[in-house]
Order: sequence, then C-alpha cells, then structure tokens
Amino acid sequence: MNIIETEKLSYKYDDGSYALRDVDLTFEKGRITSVLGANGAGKSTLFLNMNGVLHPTNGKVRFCGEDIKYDKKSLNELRRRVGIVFQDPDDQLFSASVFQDVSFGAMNLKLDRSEVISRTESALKRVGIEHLKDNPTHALSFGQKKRAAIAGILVMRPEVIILDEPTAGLDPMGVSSLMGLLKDICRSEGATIIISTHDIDVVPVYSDYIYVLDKGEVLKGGTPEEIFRDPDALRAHNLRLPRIAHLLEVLNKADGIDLDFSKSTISAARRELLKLIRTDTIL
Amino acid sequence: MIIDSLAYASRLRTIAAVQKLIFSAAAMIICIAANSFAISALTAAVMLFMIIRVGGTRAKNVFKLMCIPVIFIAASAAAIVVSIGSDSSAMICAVKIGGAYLGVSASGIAAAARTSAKALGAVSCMYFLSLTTPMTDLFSLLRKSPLPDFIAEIAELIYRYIFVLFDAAERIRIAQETRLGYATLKTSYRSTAQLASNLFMRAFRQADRTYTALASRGYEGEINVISERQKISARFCVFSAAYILTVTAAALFAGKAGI
Repeated sequence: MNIIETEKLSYKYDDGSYALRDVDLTFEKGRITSVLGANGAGKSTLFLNMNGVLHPTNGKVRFCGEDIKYDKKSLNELRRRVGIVFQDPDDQLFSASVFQDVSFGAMNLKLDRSEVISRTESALKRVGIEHLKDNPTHALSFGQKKRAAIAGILVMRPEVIILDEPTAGLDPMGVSSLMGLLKDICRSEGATIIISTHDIDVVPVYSDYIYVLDKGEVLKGGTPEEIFRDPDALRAHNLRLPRIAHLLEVLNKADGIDLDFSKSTISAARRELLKLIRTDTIL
Repeated sequence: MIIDSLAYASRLRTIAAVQKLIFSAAAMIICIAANSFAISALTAAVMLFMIIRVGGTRAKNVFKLMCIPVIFIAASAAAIVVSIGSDSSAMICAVKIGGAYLGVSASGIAAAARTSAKALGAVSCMYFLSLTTPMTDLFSLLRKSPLPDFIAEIAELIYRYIFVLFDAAERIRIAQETRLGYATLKTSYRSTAQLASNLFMRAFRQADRTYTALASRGYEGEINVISERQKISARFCVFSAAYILTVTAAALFAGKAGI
C-alpha cells in the first residue's frame, strides 16, 4: 500500500524558478525509501510539500490515497501523521530544556499530562538519550541534538517519518547507530521512513527503495540493485556508485571478471565474490 | 554563560525553583528594609555559605562572579564617602578647593559602608537564585506565573537562540580572522560591520526555519511544553521559614540597637 503519493507535483519559488517539476513518487507503507540527490536537487522542498508546510504550485500530494487538504484541521492531522526531522537540529530544538522540547509535539496533540510524560520518556529512551533529559539543549553534542530532534517527532507517533539528511555531520559510528535506530523503528513499529541523503554508501544498506532526484525532477526509481545497475546515469547527475559496487564494476569492466556490480552492500558483494571463488573461475 | 552551567552543577538544583525564589526574594527584602550593616553582612554570609558549602559551587568561581558587582559597589561607595561642604570641622581630612571643602567625614564612611553592605547582601541573594537554579527552571516558573504566556515563550526562545547566534558569530569571526580580517584597525572595522550584518541576516533565516520546524510539529501560535513538577523540599521549607523569622527578629533588634 502506498502511504504517500505525489502526482505531477511542481513547486515554483518566488523568483519563478522551479524547485520541483512534475514529480511523480510513491512511498510504500512500512518501508525505508531514500531520496538520492546532489545538493539543490529539491529534496527539502519535496519534503515540505509532503507535510503541507509548502503548497504545491501544481499537482497533488496524496496521503493514504486521499488528496491532502490545506485547511487548518486537515493540516494538523496530516502533520501528526507525517513527521519531519530537519537537517539542522538547531532549527528544530527551540527549547532550552531537552525534555520540554521533546514534549512539544505531544502537548500539541492535547494528550493527558501523564500520557505526554510517558511518551516523552519513552521517546528519549528510544533514541538513547534519556540520561540527558535534564541537560540544557545547548550542552548537547551535534549527534545528541540530532537524536533529540528525532525523539521530538517520535512522541507524536507518526505513521511516516521524513528525515532530511539524517547522516549529515555525524561521525561514522554515529551514522551507523542512527541508521540502525531508524531501521529498527521501521521494523518494530511499522513506521514508514523517508530519508534524503547524498551519502551513497549508506543508501543500499538501509533502503528498500530509492528515488534519484536531480534539478527538481525524478530521474529514476527502483530497488538499490536496479538503481546501481546503471552507474553512468548516476554519474551524469553528480552521484556515484557505492564504493563496494564501484570496486565490483572496475573488476568487471577493467579486468573482465564476471561480477554483478549492482551488488552494493558488503554482504551482497561478499556472496558475489565467494560464488566466484568457489566456482574456481579465478583460481 | 558560566552562571548557567554552575547552576546545573549545584547540589541545590533539585530544590523546587519556587522555593528558592521565595527564599532569595524574602532575604533580599529583609536585607534592604533592615538597612543595617550587621543584617546585610549576615545575609551575604548566609547566601555565600548556601552557594558554596551547601550547593557545592567552587568558592573561586563564586568570588570571580562577585567581582563584577563589587567593582560597581566600590565605585558608588567612593562617591558617597567623599562629600563637599563649606565647613571642614566634621571632616577627617579635607582639601580646600576655592571656597569649599572636599573631604571625607566619619558619617560619610558609615553611610558608604552601610550602603555597600546592603548592596552586597542584596546581590548575594540574587546570586543564590541564579547559581542554584538553571534558566529552564525559571522559565517554567515564569509560565506558571500570572504573566501572559508569550513573555515566557519569548524569553525562552531568546535564551535558546542566543547560543545558536553566538556559535554563528564565533564561526564567522574565526573565518574572518583566518583571512586576516582583523589584521589592521581598518580591516577590523570592516570585518565587524560585515559580521553584524551577516548575523542579522542569519537570524532572519533562522527564525524562518524555526517557524517551519515548529509548524511541522503542530505549532498553532502557542508553545505548549510539559514542565516537570518539582518536589517541594520540606527541609528547605523549614530552613527558609527559620531564616526569615530569625533574620526579621534580628533586623528589628538591630534597628533598635542602631547597628
């Protein structure tokens, strides 16, 4: 089932240039979908259109099969169900107290005090920063702020969580633990996760589906294998293959070894290589 | 922002903010109303004891912070000590300037000592509150107060984004400095101007982005957050009541005795 769809979605800036042009996308429920694109491809604008902060110039956005409406009540309902985690956590964390900041979304749902507290506590625990709840926001590290921002969305129990560049600015361990957390939220709570990124090595490991966006247009959509089967198309749009897939591609094209270079994760590449070794084609 | 980080580390942090507010406000009122050197000195001593011994804030840090008001108090005390008159008989020492005497009198010294002690006592009450209570606790208190909520909201947003803007300003300054932006006086002026205008633009964009992020979390013109209820400490209640009663009695006695 598609939880979010866009149909011929276009968005024009005030200066007349298009940020998005005739974008047709579908996001399947309960999956992790990545939107790949170089800087300025229109990823952030797309996301803001998907929870009604920006209004499309043309075209439609559908949530659960219905066109989204822009009256106040429908928008509030939409934003409860579609949460956005922004790239810079300082944009999102407005409160000097971590606990209070995280509670904000839950308070806006007009829940009971005890429910707000229990949701806030469990969200902090979920992202692994419950020990920081009494700290001032400005004393948190960048990675901790990012987690606090995610907790601030989790308290609303959204069906879709959109994350704009979640891995930007994190150290390598931070990236893998954050992506692991997202995968876990997706699998155990059935949330749909939509990520924008240009961190290409991370994409095949965590994504079920990928869209490639460039200059406001959708170039391609497919599973990681489908996307990375055509490296030249990616390169034409300032993207590249994951390192692993690139190695397989070089072995394939330069050394003529029979390898499928759409295998872009370590485990898939390992299987591919073992197959080769076991069949003794190179030994 | 050192004050806030000291407040976070204080052992008195967990005492409910409202209790500390009442205690420090009452102590300050008594100190000012008593207008007595002895009571002022007592107030300052108790507050410093509470901050340093009970709260566990390092004395060095407290005295460093105390230096700021002490400089102002000393400057105004000097102005009180020196008096001008046509008669120098009441003055301990005096300089004749034209037809008038500029000098120091015993009553002038007494008044200066009393006023300085009173100011110091009142300031230490303020420091007790600010060195044991983080800003976020004070904001929660402000929200519960009868004042309109937007005052607390604005105060909190300002406080939070001061840090973000400070960071931005620091990054711009370093970026300028690495390219010799502050090499000469002339370039310094220009760099400072650019820093200010840049920061202004950034503040605008930041406000825009923050609004968008708030809207995505269901913001409808009111910032609703949960404030954790702080437990009222019975021990601190008893201590505050005992302090207020004892010092009020002492103040009445001091008033009669004239000390």
